[in-house]
Amino acid sequence: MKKQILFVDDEPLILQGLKRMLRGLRSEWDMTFVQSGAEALEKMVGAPFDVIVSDMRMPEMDGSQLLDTVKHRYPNMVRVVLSGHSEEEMIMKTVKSAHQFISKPCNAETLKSTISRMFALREVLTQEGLKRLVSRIESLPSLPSLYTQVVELIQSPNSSIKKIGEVISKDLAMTAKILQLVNSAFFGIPRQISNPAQAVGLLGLDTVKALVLTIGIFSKFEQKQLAHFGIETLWNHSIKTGAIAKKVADKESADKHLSDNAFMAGLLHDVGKLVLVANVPDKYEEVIETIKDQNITLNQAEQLVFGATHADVGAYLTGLWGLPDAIVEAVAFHHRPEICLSNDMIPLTFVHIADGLEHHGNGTLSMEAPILKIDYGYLQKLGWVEKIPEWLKTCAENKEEGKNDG
Amino acid sequence: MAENILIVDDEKPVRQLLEKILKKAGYHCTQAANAADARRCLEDQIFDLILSDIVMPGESGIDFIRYVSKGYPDIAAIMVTGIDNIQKADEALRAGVFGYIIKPFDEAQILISVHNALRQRQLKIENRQYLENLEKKIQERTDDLRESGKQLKEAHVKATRLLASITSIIIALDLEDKIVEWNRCAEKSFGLTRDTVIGKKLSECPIGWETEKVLREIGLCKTSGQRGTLDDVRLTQQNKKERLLGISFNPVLGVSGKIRGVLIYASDITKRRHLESQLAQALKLESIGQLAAGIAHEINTPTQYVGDNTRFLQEAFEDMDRAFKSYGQLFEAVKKNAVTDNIIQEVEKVIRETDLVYLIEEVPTAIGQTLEGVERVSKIVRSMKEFSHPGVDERTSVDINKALESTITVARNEWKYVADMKTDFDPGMPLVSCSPGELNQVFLNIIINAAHAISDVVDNGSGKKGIIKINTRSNGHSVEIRISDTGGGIPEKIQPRIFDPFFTTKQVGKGTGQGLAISHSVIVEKHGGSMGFETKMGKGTTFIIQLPVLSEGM
Repeated sequence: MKKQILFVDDEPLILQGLKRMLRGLRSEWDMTFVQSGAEALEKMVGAPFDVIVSDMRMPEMDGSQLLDTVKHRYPNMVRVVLSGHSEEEMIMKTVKSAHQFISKPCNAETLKSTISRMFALREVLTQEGLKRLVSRIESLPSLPSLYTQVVELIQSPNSSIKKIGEVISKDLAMTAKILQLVNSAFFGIPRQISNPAQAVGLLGLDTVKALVLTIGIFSKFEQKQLAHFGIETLWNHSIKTGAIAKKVADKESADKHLSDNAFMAGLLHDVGKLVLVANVPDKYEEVIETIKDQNITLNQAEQLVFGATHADVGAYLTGLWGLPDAIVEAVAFHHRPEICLSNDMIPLTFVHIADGLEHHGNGTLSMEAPILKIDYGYLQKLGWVEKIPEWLKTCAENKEEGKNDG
Repeated sequence: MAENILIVDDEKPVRQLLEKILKKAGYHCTQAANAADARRCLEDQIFDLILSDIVMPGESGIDFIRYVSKGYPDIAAIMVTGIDNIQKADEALRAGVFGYIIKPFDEAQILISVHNALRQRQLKIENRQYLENLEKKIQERTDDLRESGKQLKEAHVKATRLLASITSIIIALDLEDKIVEWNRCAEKSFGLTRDTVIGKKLSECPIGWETEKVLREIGLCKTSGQRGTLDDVRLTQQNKKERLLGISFNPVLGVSGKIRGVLIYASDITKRRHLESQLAQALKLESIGQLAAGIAHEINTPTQYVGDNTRFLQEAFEDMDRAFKSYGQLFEAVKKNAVTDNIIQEVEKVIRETDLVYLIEEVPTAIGQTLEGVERVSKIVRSMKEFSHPGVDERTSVDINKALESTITVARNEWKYVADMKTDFDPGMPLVSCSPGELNQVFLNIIINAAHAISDVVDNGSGKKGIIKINTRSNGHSVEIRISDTGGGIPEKIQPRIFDPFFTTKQVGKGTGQGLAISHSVIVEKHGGSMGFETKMGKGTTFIIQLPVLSEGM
């Protein structure tokens, strides 16, 4: 079936231009063009769209009102803003309702690739219920202590961008959100950024302040503690995996960008678990019970309960939010790296290794420890198997350092 | 009341004779046989007069009288004695007696002397009282004088201090332009000390200001008796610094109402002028900044579709090229008379795949819209240039219609989401002499206000767009510009205040409250026009600007 895309813009010439420009994709995409929010909502009745691309400022109903309505009525529709406006006030309004923001004028490739990526993502997560769940997410819950720390830092007169960035990079929820904002063109800096401190710096302290304090892009974990799932354990594992991925990447002389990406991908690799735990905690408890009852792997149990794994959910979210492809890829395939076998060094490789090492090196019996191991076949193909002892040493050093830090 | 007289004599018959005479004349008498006796009497009673013998046993009469005149200065004394001696008489007179009677005496002689002595005494007392009074009065006066002297001194000190602390220049001149007052600020500003200029004519002092202008104004002030002012008088100080002074010339009137001099009061307005020009610049920048985001959007929109259409044309050309090539093959085959079904099918396939019919229909439209987009961008850029008008202070002949047109264009993004713009321009508008930059600011202010007024109504209600209408009319001498909106109108209670500086109904941070105040001053003060409004609650507001075709100052 062809993909359904709806374009909304009050300027007919823009619509005609888009129509002609995207004509080459007419065999894959079914495109509808309307001039107002009201017309857009009318078209949606009965005929669902996969993606809506809307202008921001329009008379009567503006883009943020339209996307808000869409979010509630059709949560699994992917919402993209295509706007020539650069006023912060306007952008702030869409931060919560739009998945991605493209600024006008944009070239054909950006538009095509952004939309194509969305479709590719939809293949990753086939389960409609989960798609709807993830599309609706505005923000992920942070560890309360880290959230409080960030809020305090932001309000403090002598806080620095660096400090704020440091705290954010300890929290997967805040990291994911800040990377969404900075990687999408929301603030006119569509760059592949994978360093929260750099992201905060690019956004500017004032913008971050407004985003956190007024718009509320971050939130804190308020769910009751689950019986079998420790939130702190997830954070701990995420931070350590990120750190190990970076260590290993540095050891393999990865460049700064790759090393940063490896850290972020490591930090975020289990973000899907957070999505599930925060939104459907009872079902996640069921997953854990299923593992015990049926003696199956986590992935198998998740498949049984949700019809998808936390990797799929995490990949969908990070993709939807426009995080760098390398990170999305690492999140999606951290259990099955062979899918993306590549001769280049990619974050996925380091995340897979770090995830394995972290579970292995973790003395306490983490939930996944006995289940997930490093894919030796994959490393064999890369010719890296003999490096494992070396990495374990690095990992142990890392642990030492961690202890000293504590 | 009868006067009380003390008679002192050692001979009793003399005492009794004297008493008899005096009693008959109505005086009251007391007798004493010697000085010691008499002293006791003085302690018991108050006497007006003493008649005393000189030679008595014990203290002599003269010594006694000396004692009396010291201790009882108000008692008069007469000597009644047998000694006929000039020296004695002189001594007695010097001791303070009023009369000297030589025995034997007759009655008349005694009475005359007594009467005379009492009168003299009375005079003496009155005189003394008068003197005492006088002295008291003089003392009082002296005290008063001293007090007012003190007050005067204090006032003077205060005045001097005040004059010194005033940060404005104060110079007082008499009628001959001679300097009588010169405060510290004047010393500092002109680099001339008070001592060197007091008494000199102002024109003789080396002051680096516009002397001619100042002297002319002083002359005017003296002849008319009216206050005069000069603004922006240039002063070159001794350190070569340029300052701007605002000077007022005040006539000093005497009690009679006649002019006695001129008080010059001048303040340094350099900083104020500097701030004013900064403010004007800031407001200009603010409006440009306000527009910048909107203008960017106005340019982004055509750029987007120009790009899209060009991309389409690129792809269309590739398709058409493919079709052209396939037709070429067909043409070659036709020439060689070797047309096969294969070739025809191939051509048909290409036509179908490339959607050639669509392309032929669409390409001209795409080119047309591309050109339109490019035209739109250049119009915006042209309008920006016209709007911002470098050289804002220069007066030139301005086509008001065109100025409005460019202002509407640059502000388009501010109104297009809430209102439609309707213009009705008088094609016969004469050129108006004005400063286009400032005028455009005024138009911009009113258009943006109109958009905001409509936006408030749109946000709160129907959601339907409003209308901004701009008309121009001319009657040859003046032009009229009417800008109306379909907003909520201006409430009656704020109507009188809308041209006040810093008055705003917008949220904090949304407006400086200066827009309409400055607009009003630009139209009225700088261009000699008028600016007013008509408003109806719930219907909207019309701002009306009238400008003379030949502005003042041309």
